[in-house]
Amino acid sequence: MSDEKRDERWLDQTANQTKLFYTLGIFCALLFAADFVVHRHAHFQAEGMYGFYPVFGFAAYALIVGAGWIWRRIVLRREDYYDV
Amino acid sequence: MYEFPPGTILVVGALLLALAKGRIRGFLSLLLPVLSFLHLLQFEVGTAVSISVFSYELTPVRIDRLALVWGYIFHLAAFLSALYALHVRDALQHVSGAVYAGTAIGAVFAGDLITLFVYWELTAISSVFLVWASRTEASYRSGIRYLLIQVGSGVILLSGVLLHLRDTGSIAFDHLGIGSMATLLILLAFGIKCAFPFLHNWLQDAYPQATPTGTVFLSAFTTKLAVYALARGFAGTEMLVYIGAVMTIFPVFFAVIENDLRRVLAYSLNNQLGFMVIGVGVGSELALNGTASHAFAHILYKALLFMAMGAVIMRVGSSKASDLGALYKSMPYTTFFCIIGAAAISAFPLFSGFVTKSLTMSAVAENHYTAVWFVMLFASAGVLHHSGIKIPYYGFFGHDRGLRCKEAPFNMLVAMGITAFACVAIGVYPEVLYAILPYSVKYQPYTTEHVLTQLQLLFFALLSFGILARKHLEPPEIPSTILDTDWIYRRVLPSVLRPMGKAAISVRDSLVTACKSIVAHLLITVRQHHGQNGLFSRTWMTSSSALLVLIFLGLYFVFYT
Repeated sequence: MSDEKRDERWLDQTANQTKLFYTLGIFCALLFAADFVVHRHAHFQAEGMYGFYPVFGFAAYALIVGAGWIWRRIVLRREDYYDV
Repeated sequence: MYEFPPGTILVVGALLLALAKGRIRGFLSLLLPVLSFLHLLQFEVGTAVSISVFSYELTPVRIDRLALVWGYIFHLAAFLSALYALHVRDALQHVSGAVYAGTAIGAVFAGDLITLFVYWELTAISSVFLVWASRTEASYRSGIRYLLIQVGSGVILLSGVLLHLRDTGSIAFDHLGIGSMATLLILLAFGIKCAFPFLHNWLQDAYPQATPTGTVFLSAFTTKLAVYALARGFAGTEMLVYIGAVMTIFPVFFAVIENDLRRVLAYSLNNQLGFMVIGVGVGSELALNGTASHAFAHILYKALLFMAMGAVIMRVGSSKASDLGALYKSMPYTTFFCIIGAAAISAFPLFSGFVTKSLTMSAVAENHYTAVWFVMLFASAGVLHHSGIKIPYYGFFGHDRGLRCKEAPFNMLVAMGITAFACVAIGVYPEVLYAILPYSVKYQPYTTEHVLTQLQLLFFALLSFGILARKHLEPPEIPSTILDTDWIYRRVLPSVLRPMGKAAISVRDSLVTACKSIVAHLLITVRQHHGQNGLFSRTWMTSSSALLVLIFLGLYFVFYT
């Protein structure tokens, strides 16, 4: 217990994790805003829309994790599945 | 004088590694890739060395710009893997590592299909010892499956080559295309080694079973050799665009739920191969440059990630997410290098993935494969998930389970440091890599637009992770087995074949019983007539024999005169 206490790092504190998260949020907001400033040459129509990359990145990640929840119901087995 | 195939120094030198001990062996294992590289530099582009064997013209050495990209990176990978494995005392691993690297290099410079086949099989046989070197029951069984599939790929290759020889009279290893049964077989052989969908599972099965240092060797050569072979023989084969697209996508969904982080990296490797296969399928100069540069950069960052995981296994004894967490407190340098590898594979600007993957993406867009382009973009978010976040997060951050251990050994840290440096150097100075690509490059990765869109994609995916993690919606890390296509040959086929085998055995048993009883009857009859007191075993007197002869002579005399 005392070892754990001594080894407490900056990242272990929930408040700092929240700080990190909000910093990420602010950076993302800036990146989103930059879309209206930087002129882009899109290959495809959809790609040229404002906010395409932010929305795509966010949604793709959420979709992958969501699909993981479904996929694990189908293919996840006990660790010793092949041993017995 | 120097015109023996590149890689030979490694293969022959492996014999010395087997005899040497201690520091001398360590020194030799580092010296061999360097000597082999210097030997490669002696050749001029365009060199071809041919010999005649049984009226066939073999070309064991063919040096051109396509092969050289693989030749350079294979040497670098061989050196870095040897450095990473410097502390290992097991001679078997040093020897098989050197032979494996040497034969893979030899294969890349093979100018004909027979030479390619020989090297193809040698890489399979030499590499399996890196799996078996774990010396566990699981690694032994996994190694057998690996060997069967790899050697099988070689046998299919040989059948294709022989048919191709009959069709065309040529064994030259140039563009083949999919015009005949012969070339389709060759494509299938390449596809097995390249882990095409449904042919892929040997990779996720065997690589995580190898020793921590062995996996670093394995991750570099086999599959990238297959990518090279595809680029050489099947560039512009449209089918590969779609096969590659499937390869980028499906491993993402396995990686998201896999608990063993080395297996997650194996799925990630599979997904990266997809990007390269798409480039081969598109086949334009830009696309092939994309494939070659991606293979180069990928070997480095994938090796770096496997190195970081290998260090964790060495220190903690496990690479399972459910066993790990907060290792950044004990292994800060390894954590740092792992994050660089993760940033490189996720294609953050200033890292190697950014300047290589975008070549292929641009080629796909230029050739109007719209759907495939969107699939690649989706898969890029997948890469960020499993390699960019999952590996460092679950390995080095995440739950603190109280694990405290030593930092990785010095040689491992140096190997990781050099590899990490290369990942950043390529990202910052892409011109150096672009200069050795097969075709001249007129591509500028660092435009405001490209940097911005890539940052948007990655940081919003990171934001998505942040929100899901805070809401505890990430799939939890639990000890588990994930079913993949190996389920078919590890569960379904045995459960079908076992009853059939039992039936066959019982049929055989009853046949044997029936035969035995026939033989027994025969023996009884024989004994009756030939045994004691049997008709044919009685001893007759000489006089009666003489009498019989006389009777026969008399009969002969009566009837034939």
